[in-house]
Order: sequence, then C-alpha cells, then structure tokens
Amino acid sequence: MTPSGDKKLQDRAPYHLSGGLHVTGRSRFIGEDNRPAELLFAKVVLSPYAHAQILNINTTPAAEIPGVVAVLTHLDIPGENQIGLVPQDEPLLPVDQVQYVGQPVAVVVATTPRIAEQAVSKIEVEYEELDPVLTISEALDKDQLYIPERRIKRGDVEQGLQNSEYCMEGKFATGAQEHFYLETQCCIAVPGEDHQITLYSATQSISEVQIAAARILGIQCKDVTVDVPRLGGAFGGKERTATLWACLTALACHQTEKSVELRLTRTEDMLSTGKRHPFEAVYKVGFNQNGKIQAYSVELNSNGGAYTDLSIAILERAMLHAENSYYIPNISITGRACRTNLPPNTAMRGFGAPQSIFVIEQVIERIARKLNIDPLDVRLQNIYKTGELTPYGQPIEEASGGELLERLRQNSQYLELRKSTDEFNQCHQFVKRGIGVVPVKFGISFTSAFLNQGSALIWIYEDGTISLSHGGIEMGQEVNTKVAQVVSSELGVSLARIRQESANTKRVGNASPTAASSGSDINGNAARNAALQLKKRLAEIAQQMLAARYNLKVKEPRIIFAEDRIFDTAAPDRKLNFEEVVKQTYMERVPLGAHGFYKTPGLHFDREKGVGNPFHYFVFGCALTQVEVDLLTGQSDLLKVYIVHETGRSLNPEIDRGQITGGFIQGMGWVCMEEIIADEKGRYLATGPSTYKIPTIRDLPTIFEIEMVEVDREGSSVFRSKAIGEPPFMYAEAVYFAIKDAIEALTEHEKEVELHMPATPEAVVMAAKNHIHLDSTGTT
Amino acid sequence: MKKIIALNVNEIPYELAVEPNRSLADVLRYDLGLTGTKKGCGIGDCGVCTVLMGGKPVFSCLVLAVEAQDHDILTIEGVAKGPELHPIQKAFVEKGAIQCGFCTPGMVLNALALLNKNADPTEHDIRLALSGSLCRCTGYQKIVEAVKTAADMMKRSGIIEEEAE
Repeated sequence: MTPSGDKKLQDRAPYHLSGGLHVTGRSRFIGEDNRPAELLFAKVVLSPYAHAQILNINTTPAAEIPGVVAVLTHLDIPGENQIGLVPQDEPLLPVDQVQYVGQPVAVVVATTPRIAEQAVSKIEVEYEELDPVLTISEALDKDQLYIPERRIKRGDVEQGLQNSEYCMEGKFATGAQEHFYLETQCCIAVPGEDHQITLYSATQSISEVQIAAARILGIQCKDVTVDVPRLGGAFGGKERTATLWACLTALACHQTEKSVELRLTRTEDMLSTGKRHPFEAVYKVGFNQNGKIQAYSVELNSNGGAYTDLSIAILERAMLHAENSYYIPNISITGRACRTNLPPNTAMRGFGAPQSIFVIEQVIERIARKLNIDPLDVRLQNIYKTGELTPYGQPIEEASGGELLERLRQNSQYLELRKSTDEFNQCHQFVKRGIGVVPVKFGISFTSAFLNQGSALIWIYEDGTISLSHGGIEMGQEVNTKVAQVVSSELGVSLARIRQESANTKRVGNASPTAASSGSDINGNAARNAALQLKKRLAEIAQQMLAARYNLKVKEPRIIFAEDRIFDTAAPDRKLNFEEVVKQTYMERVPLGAHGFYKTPGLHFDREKGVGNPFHYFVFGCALTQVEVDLLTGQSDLLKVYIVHETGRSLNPEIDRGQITGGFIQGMGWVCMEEIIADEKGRYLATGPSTYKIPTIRDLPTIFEIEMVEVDREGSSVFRSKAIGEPPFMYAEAVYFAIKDAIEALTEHEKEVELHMPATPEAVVMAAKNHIHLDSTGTT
Repeated sequence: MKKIIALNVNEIPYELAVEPNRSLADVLRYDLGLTGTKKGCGIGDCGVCTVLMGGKPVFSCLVLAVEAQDHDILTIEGVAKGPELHPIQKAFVEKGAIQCGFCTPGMVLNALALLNKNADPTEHDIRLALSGSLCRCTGYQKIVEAVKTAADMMKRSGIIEEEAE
C-alpha cells in the first residue's frame, strides 16, 4: 500500500456546507420554510390489529366535527390504490384487510392538528380479527415467501464437510432495529394549477415518491414535483417508507385542494414503520485443525413484514455478504424472505449485510474456541487474498483485509491487551473483560444494476455564481458538501460561489434513491461530468480572450482553472477572472448550463444463477473492541475501540471520520442495546425513546481510535474516493463478541455461552447465570 | 380559552394569546417562527427541543407556554450575539460535530448551560451534561471534542468569566 501524495482536494476540504446554519437554528427542514397559509393537518387512523378483515368504516361521526375538512378511505383514491414498487403489492389504504398493526386505514384532514386528532378517535372501524403470522418459523411453515428461495453456490459443500477435520452446526438470530431518525416521517403537499401538486417530502427517493403519488392521484409524473431541502436523519428509513406518508398527504391535498401537512408523532412512527429485518440463520461449517474453513452452508431467512418493500434486495445483499471477508472454497448460501404481519421491514444502514456478516463471524468465533486458537488468527487464516473469487464469482481485487487486520493488531497492542484482559479476569469474580474483533468487506453499488446512475444540473449565472443540483438527498452524510467540493475543484472556484440546491424532481429527473452508500459516488461523478462540459466551453472562450488581451498564442493550449482564475500554463501570470470569462461566454452565446450524467461501469448480476459482478468495488476495514461486563447486573461498558478503515483517497477525511464514528455507535446500539419486541398480537412494545434505548453520549468508549488508511485504488470512485456510509456499521459486531468473550471468561473460555443478540443487560445475565454459582454467603 | 402571556425570548419581549395547554416548543416554532427548536419525541426523552429557561436547560415540549411566563428563554437563534458565531457554535462547525443538524440546537444549548456554570469541564462532566440529548448520526465523539474546544476558546477569550459573574 502506498499512501497517496496528492492532498490538494483534502487540504481544501470544507466544513459541513450547512454547518453555520445548523448551529444557529437557521437551517430549514421540511415544514419550516415557506409554510403555506391556511395549512390543513392530516392525521391517520392506524390499524390496532396485525391481521383483520375490515367489515365497516363509519366516518360520519368524525366528519361532523367542526373543523374537519375531509375523511378519506380507499374509496377516495382517484387513481390506482398501489404504492408498491417491485412487485406492486402494497395498497395506500387497505380495501378489505389490514396486514399489520399501525397500517393506515383512513385519513382525517382538519383545520388544526388537535381537531384532526379528535376526529381520528371518532372514526369507527369494525374489524374481524384474523390470526397473524409474526415469526419467521411460522411463515416458513406456511410457505409465506415473497419469492422462491434464492441460492448462491460454489464447489461441493457436502464433499467439503466430509473432507474437513471438524464439523459444526448452529443457529443464529439477529434482531430488528428502529432507525430513530430524529425528524419523524413528514410531508407537506401544496396544490398547483392544472392538477399539479408539489410534495415537500422527507424522502430519500424523490422519483419514487413522484411515481407513486402520480399513480395514486391518477395524474402523471409531469404533474408532481417532489422537493427535499434536507432530512433530519434517515438511515434507510426514508427510502421506501416515506412513500406511504407522502402519498397519503398527496391524497389529502388533492381531495381538499388545500395545502396539507402530515407529520407522525414518535409513537405513530415507531409503531407503524418497518425496521431493519430480523434474520434467522442455520449453518453448517467444516474446517481443519489450522482453522481454515473448507465448507460452509448457510440458510438466511428474513422477516419481511407485511409487504415486499425492499425485502428482496435486502435478502440479496445479505446473501452477497454471507462469507464477509473470507475465502471459502465450498459454499452454499440460501435465502428466503418471509411475509409476516409486522410493519413492512425495510432498508437500514447495511441493508442485510450486517445480518449475514454476523453469522459468519459467529462461526469464526466458535471455530477459534473449538480449536483453542486466537480468533484473530482464525480470521487471518481465512481472509481474502487478491485475485480470489467471491462465491458469486466476482474477483476480489486489491484485497487488503489481512493487511488491515495486522495494522489493527499493532494499533491495539493486541497481545498486551489480551494479556491484561486475562489478568483482570483472573482477579475479578463477577466483573469480566472481553475482546472482540471483526473485519468487514462491503460491496459498493446497488445490486439492482439500473439504479447505479445519476444526474446533475449546473448553471453558471452571468455573475459567475453557480447553481448546483444533483439527485442526492442531504441527510447528514454531507453528500452536498462532497459534491460541491467536486464541482469547486473542477472549476477551480471557491465554494462560496456555489449554491447547493434542494433535491427536486424538476431539476433532476429519474433520480435513484440516496442509498447503498453510493450518494457521493454517483452524484459526485455526475456533477463532475457537468462541470467538465462547462470547463471545456469556458476554456475555449478563455483561450480566445488570452489571445486577444495578451496576444498569447499557444499551439497546444493548456487552460487551468484555479483559485477563481483561468490561465494557460504557458503564461501562468496572465490570468483571467472566472467572472469575466463567464460573462464573455454568455456574450458569445455559448451555453452556461450543463446536465451531467454518470453510470457505474461494469456491473452485472444474474440473480437466477447467483453469478456476476454486482459491485463496482469493495470497502475494507476492521475493528477491535474491549468491554467490561458486570455479570450480576448485565451492564456492559465499552472501554476501547480501535478501527482501521481503508478510505481510498478521501474527498473529505473529517466527514468520513464522522461516518465511521456514527456508523459504529449506531451498530453498537443494534448489537447490545436496542430491542424491538412485538407482543403476541404483533404490536411493537417499543414506541418511543423511553422504551427503546439508542446509544447516548455516555455510551462512548473511553478510547476510540480510528486509523483511516488512505491508498490509491483502481476500485474506487470520484477522484479515487470510496463510499463510506454503511461499512462502518458492521464494525460494532465486535462489541457483541467482546461481551460474549467476557462472559466466557467465567469458565476460562472452556465453555461456550448462548448469548442472545442484542446483548442487552438482560441477555447478559441470562447467558451468565448458568456459570455463576452463588452459595449462601454470596461467593462461588 | 386563550390566555395572554408575556414571554421574553432571546431578550425580546413578546405578548401572546396562547391556549393554556400549548407547549413552549409549539409556541416557539409556530407562533414565533423560531424553528431552530425542533420536536423529536414530544415526551421529554430525546432533547432536540431543549431551550434554556432562566439559564437552565429544559425540554420545551414538556413546558407549557404559560409556565414560561416571567422566565428568560434562550433558544438557539439567540445564542450568537450579532453576526459572529458563539465559540460553542464555532467549535461545533470546525470540529465536524454536526451531521443532519436536527439535534444540534439542543446540543449547543446544553453545552452552553454547562460551560456557563463550569468553565473547565472534564469529559465526564460533558457527557453528563449532554446525556439528555440524543444524536443518531454522529456517534457523539466529535460533539465531545467540540465542547472541549469551545471551553478552551471561551477561557481564552474570557467569555466564561464574564458570564459567570
């Protein structure tokens, strides 16, 4: 690995483009800007049942309340009652059956939020309760699958197992996770002339909302504008989920011909929106004395909830990450997405990969214990080397997992840490420390190849300032900062010249969702393409101007754009101002606007055969954590975290560092704090921050060291940067393994404990209790 | 029945007719247009609606507007005096302690309340003071760094001594 030399772009890496607005409260989120006068408020009647027949909906008592403007059911939908993508299986408002607790059944529109709330309580819906299917095993028994099972295979697993010196089998289940974006789902719909409508929707996917709203209202995409200034967090939870709420608001607006706001309370949001998919896995593994895995078969079954949503794509990404960072010669990966009566589970950071990576990491840990080899060594024994093929046949180029693990070993002073941990455990009876390590390999690109395209629109105005639009949604990941950096760098102008516009379907059509960690790659490249077109035109005018003004005649002009000036390398002291070249370009009637486009090259994947190159490149990294666990209370404290992450040539290292920290802490919530329990009726019991604990500032580790390894890679994206959003999430699985390691210290690591995931204090106590023997004096 | 109340927000006096059951958060956002105060859970658990009331942080979703009468209210819009950012705001920007920005106003106000009474907080003090504010994006590390940096900046510029007196 050779660190890159050119730090030019990074030296000018700016702070958060909207940072000054955010810290002064002047940044505008949806509903805070240009709030329409005479705004109406929508409130939704939510199903109390996970599965029920709707016998009758009586809206009359609600409609009679003064201030109620409309009460809407499926009968009021002028277009097609369908918001599903592929397949189209999700109604906006159900006709005859509700499929999950919290499903919208009717919408009230009123002059104040309070009246709307009162009216909702007056709507009488008669249901006949039906048996819900809530769990993966029930769904498998009833064969409720969204698609026939999928498979990716290489080699001969049966033969591989037979040839292995050891075999093991097991099960592992991972839990749901609530996105807990701080801004709840919301939309404001504003009517326009000729049946047009504008939706200010908290969505990661402007085009999807546009298409679905047009379908619902029986109008066309040209009649629907979707605009997103920024989101107060999303994490996948506003990729598909926002469409439902946007379409309900659109319907309310269409029917009342007034502006309407719909904003979910936290309780409504947590009760009715889908989560990260719970997965249940069954596996078999064969391995040799040295820890080398010979054969692995894994069945990945996901709880998809009541409608398809993104369950198929999420299952696919889970399957494509089932081997994580390891070369396994004989492998069989089977995937099933189950239909149940829970809110439709959906995208969340990692998109299935955290679930399947967790399983193979669990397997590695068990192999290490069985063979009494250090788990880090088992990982190194199996780690991908450059040129090896994934189970789906894509070669791993520039494999750096092994090298990064070695760096992690050094950074954390692994041997000493292990030794001091063991020493601590020997002199502490009920408080134990543990260490966990996890490497991550994460594929970058949407696995649906067609989504890997992006557009941008740049206008340079006569005064030399710039309007920049692209299809990416700003939701805290600072895609706007990164894309503006790309444009500023290409055109050699300061960021102050650039106005980053909201994401809007009128300026950028057919935008892919901002998801799959690809926002900066796709939109950065598209904006760069637009900037390069403009640069070419400006350069020609600049050349003419230099010739006319300075009599500069160069055979092969090399026009440079830098520091708001334009010049030829032949005469670098004869500079033109950016503005004057822009002005002259306008006077010459050369266009100052450009549409840029980008499609990720070389992607193909045959889903039926499970073979292809679904990813443009991979991101590599690894993490080590140390925890201290009180085995009597179950409380665990994160002491140390070391992360080594390969960034490519980072566009903005501080933004990337923020993504690594944020992703890790969010992952830590998933593996040891956040638990979503549904009761036997399919109702989520966690409905707010009082019943659902996400990490707080007090959960930060004492030591949190992140090394970002910056290397030039062929497999990378705009200006050789790499995607950053999702990969760090998986590092947090090391926290779970550290907790497990700590509990197993009770038996000198001789016995394996069954530790539920998430490893909440309750789970820790349950796992530890069989290994703690208290006599009447309180000692073992 | 609306009640006429006098509110002093960011050193500006307001006279407002409000329903007695309306929260301070709603009145700030929708009557006064101070949308820097966010709403996240409505039950005093996430901290995005934090404002300072008499210098102390409160969840404005749990405070009735009528209860805020006769107290000085400071919202995020009133933290910077003039065009210059307050050192805490400056530190949040420069340390990259902001991602989506939704928790930022509450975080800044909690930090301000802390630094006004404790010029030299330990990391533990910072974590304790900000523990009522949830952030789902940043992982908090840069927020801690920003508050430490702000404390240094304020000490150097003498802001803390002035306000503490």
